[in-house]
Amino acid sequence: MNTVIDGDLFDVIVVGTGIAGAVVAKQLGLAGRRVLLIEAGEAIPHGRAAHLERFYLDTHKYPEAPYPVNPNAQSATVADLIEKDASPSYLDQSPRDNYTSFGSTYERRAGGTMWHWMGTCLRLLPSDFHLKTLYGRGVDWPIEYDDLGLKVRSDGLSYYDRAEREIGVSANKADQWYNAAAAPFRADYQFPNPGIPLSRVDQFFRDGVQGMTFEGYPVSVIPTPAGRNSRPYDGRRVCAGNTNCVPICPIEAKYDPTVTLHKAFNTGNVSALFQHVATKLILDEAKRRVTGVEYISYSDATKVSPSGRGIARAKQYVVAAHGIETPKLLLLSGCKNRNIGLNLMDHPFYLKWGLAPRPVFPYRGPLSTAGLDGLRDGQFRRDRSAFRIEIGNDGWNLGASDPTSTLLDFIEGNNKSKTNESRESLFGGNLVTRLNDIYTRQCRIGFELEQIPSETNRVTLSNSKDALGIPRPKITYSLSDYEKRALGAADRLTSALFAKLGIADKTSYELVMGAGHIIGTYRMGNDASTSVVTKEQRSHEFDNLYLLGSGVFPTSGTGNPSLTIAALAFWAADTIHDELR
Amino acid sequence: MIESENETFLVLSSALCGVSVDSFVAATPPKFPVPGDLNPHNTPIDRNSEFIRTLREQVGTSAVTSLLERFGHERQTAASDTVAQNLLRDPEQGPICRSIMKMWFLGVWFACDRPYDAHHVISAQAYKDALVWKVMQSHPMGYSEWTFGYWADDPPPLETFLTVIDK
Amino acid sequence: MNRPLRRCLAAVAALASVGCPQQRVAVSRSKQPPSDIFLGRENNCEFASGGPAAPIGYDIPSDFHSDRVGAERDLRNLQCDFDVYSWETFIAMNWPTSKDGGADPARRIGDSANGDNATVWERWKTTTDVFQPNGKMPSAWGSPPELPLSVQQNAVELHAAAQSSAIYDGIRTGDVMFLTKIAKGHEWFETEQPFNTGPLIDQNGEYARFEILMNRPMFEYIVDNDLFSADGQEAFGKRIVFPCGRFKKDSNGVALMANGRPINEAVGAIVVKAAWKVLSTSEQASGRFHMRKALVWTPADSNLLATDPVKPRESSRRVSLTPVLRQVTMGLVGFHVVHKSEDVPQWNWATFEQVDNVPTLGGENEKASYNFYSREHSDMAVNVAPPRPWDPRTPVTNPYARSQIVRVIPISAATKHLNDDYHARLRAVNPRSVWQYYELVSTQWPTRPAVTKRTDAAYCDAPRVRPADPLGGPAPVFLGNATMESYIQGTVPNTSSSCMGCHGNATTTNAKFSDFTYVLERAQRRKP
Repeated sequence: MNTVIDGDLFDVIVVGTGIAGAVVAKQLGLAGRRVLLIEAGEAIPHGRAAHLERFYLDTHKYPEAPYPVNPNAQSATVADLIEKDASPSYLDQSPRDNYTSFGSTYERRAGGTMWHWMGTCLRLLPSDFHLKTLYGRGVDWPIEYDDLGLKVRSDGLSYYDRAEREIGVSANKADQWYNAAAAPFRADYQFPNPGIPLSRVDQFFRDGVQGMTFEGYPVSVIPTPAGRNSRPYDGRRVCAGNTNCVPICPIEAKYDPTVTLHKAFNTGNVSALFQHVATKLILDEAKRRVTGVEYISYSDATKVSPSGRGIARAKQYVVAAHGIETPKLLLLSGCKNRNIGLNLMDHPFYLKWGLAPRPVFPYRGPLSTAGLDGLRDGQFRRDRSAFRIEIGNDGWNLGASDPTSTLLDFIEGNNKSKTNESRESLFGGNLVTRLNDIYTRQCRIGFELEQIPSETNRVTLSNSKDALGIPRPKITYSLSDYEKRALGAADRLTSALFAKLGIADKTSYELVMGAGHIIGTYRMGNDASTSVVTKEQRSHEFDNLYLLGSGVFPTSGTGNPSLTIAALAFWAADTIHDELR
Repeated sequence: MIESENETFLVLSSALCGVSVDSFVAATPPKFPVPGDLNPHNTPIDRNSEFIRTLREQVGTSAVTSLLERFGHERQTAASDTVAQNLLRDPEQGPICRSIMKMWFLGVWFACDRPYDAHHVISAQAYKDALVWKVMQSHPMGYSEWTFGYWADDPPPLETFLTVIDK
Repeated sequence: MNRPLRRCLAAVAALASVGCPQQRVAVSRSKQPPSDIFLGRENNCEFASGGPAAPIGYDIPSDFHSDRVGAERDLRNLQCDFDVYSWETFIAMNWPTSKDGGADPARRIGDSANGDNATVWERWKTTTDVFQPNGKMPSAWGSPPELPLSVQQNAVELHAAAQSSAIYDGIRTGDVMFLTKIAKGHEWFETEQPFNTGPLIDQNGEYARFEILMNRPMFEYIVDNDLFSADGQEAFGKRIVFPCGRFKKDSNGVALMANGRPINEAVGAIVVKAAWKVLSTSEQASGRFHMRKALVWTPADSNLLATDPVKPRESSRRVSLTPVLRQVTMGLVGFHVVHKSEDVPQWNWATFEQVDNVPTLGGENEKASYNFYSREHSDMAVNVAPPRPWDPRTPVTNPYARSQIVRVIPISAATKHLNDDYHARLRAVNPRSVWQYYELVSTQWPTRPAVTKRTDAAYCDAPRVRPADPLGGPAPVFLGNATMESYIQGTVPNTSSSCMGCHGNATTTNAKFSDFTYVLERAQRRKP
């Protein structure tokens, strides 16, 4: 049964209900514009209980653990990537090793991937926007930091300011000015919530790195601005330190885009078609316009259940389906811009972990509350990736699957964790005191590497199809020497840092994983031959098409992308609103 | 009798895991008796019953009975931890004992012939009551009873979470 | 199509084997944990005298007391004793009042011709009274209540709604109450966005309204410590520790007794949360509700606009933005009473419901109709928030857009028998007593309370006394009122309703632990 949604019912169609789609829908809804959201996945759940129960009962607790599998709208899972599961990963890729595997996953459901984000809300640095001009690497963005962070709009706020308010970012401005390269804030700017206290692990690092430099650059601990409540805010509770941000905050103290979606629905101008998979944009190349979105709907998210097809039309179209599904949709639609899908980037995330000389009490508080951010910029960017360093409050949970691994070592008499050299098998009080001594001293850091664009890193269409008959995304990806040299620098920094702090390195294998960031596949630029969208995120080829999300970033930058995605979405909403007048 | 098997299971678990029986689902009782002290003799969630049921389902009732009978019998002439050590060395009963330890520490069942593969989480409550988080003076990831900012300070000492049995 | 309310419990197959098995047993994940792992739910309470000892009376017990000793002091028996404590509290708080606002010793609960009476707790301070706009100091205890300024300023509606000044007099004397709140966290007098748990819409399409009240010791702690404004909370450098109820005790800390009962010394802090339903004419005549006249306020709210998300082809329905003030008769349908005391410093959490509220999942459910459930529409999904818009201005005519609520965790047989016992006592006072139509759902109490010697510096400060065990092992583990925790009932840790589990996260406006109450969050900032 084919449905047609007429073009006079809605002003804007938005494909995808992650933060970018939610922000645009809310902003346009508030301005009196009629918006239709089309979401491949399930609607906002009625509560968190089912998700939490699924999480508690999962033996692995990867980011996808709380979220029900939906065979109609699949995406890659960490389990697929790590365990090379029997069922093929949704992403069609053939990695040879650690450096050629695209490790980031995403969610297809109302609220999108930020259900399981960490909460880190860093602004990009001014230098991130000029990698080419400053260091001869990658490309420049067609916009400046000032466009997002300093220029105020009619409401007296910059786009970054607005994004921070929507999310409810907790930080103290004074902490964020750590060197001349840091992102500046407007003089009178205040974060919506005060900063989150440093954990004991952070304090240990902070005290230990006093006066330390690395290759000429200062090493210091900076509290991380985060989208989690340090005050009751927006009708949500204060963070209670459930240490579970990834994969789900049990009490919604951490922001997720369903918050914005609810506000969008409250405006009265936003409707949604959940369980509707967009399959094609109908393009009129001559008129440079999109004239509709084709979709397949399904009735039951627990089994393959296509139930109908249709076309939805509006005046303006936004695709905000994240960095893999968006280029996939454009390719399925026959978009000719050769840059679609190219320049796929992540922040390769390189983990190191060890034992502190005294208890630092990890596994407490949010998963991360601070980082070593002073090394995000410098002349070294001519030769190697910059990185920020995330300090983990989660002990060896991420890299080594602790506390389980160490427990199994001491029960079974093994040494996978590198804490049981003599392979003792313990029980009773001895076991408890030994474990207490180890767990309370565990710490880990993660190097989040910038990645520069490369055309051979790309999303294309696979020959194999998903359950609804839609081609799966095919991924080709690898780290370049630019990033690999940064891994070398990370090794050197880790040695120096661990030596200074007295941390015994217990990293048991080389782990370079995805950070959960999917960047660059429909990048912005002034030149239509080398970019997909303009700096306003409008398609170069179709005047009524906007593409949002981290896919528009020309380089990955040195900060987690969510805040920048939100800021750019506010910008796009203003542009689209002006266009509709 | 079922009731005494449950009690024996608890004492065995205590010897294996190194914590007092009280510690399994409760923090240590107050050090001084207080008039009007409420502590009842059983607790809202009976982990013990849940685990012994899981054990019977997974390894069979007769294996459980013979394990508990052996422990109960040998304890009459030797200290609990000596008996526990002998059980752990036994080729058949050792793996069962190690699976028992993993149940208490993690709330997860590991089949005794696949000691590194988590088979299933016994229940959401078992995960939440798992001992390993108390061992590290913290709370389960995903379940915190504390409030904002607690992580900036040291946790309370280990003995307020568990009573560890000394050798 | 009528779907049975019972949910299936999947069976777990057993596999008998010797020693270490080669096969593994498949695990079917059941929706509910096996009920025997939640203890304390056996059939009947046992009391030395055959029933609860205390006669019906108007003294709110200052603290919990149990005569049981030794092996008798187990979970089941203590739960019974806590349930008795809750009933004694409920009866004393619902006692008829005298002029000064306290209980009238010359009367008995429900003794009037229609079986109803104005109650002691209804004279207490509401959170609307205490947490004023701009952090203004509330009026003194015992002052006549006033309508909020923003309501008074809405002149047109006030004059339309008020036939006479008797209504405003009624507010000041307490004969008429002021109600506004439609959902947990939803507060039209604050700048926060509504919490998204959802409102409760009854079978007449009317929105339930909620209010929170506190007794004098709680109110005075807030006023004396300047906690009614956000500024005052920030300046308050100490821990929030509300006053504890206590018995008169000897120098060894043993309660002094009179007539077999401990002697009350100070009542301590009590918070009430009440849920009210708009009563139809027939419901008013039924005699099954405690009733009160109310002025119900719905302000203009730009959030109250929505389009039906499943019918996008229909034009968006814009809801009128005009505020509405209605004069209605409300019936009490839900009642939380939370009491802090020396032997229960993590507070005692009791909750009551009107008996016609909801059917029970898997239960017998013989009533012809319920307040918040439709037998005719039993194919509806249950315990799901109504679709948006949430607009209390007009009754919801679409039955599928009303709340369809069931009780997920049944009231235990022991509590049911106890309820029957108290209902009989209430009928003995007056066969027409409205109070016989209220039932205790359960009482949540800490099995490992943070009790300390009174001279200890940590007196009555639960988190300091037991820092490794802040909640003290609540029993029962999960508890919710079908009218106030309608959509979060269940047995998932940290998510399904547990009084102490959720209130353990409560803080002040500056994120300090607020001793298990969310009321302090409502404080506003003083105007500079």
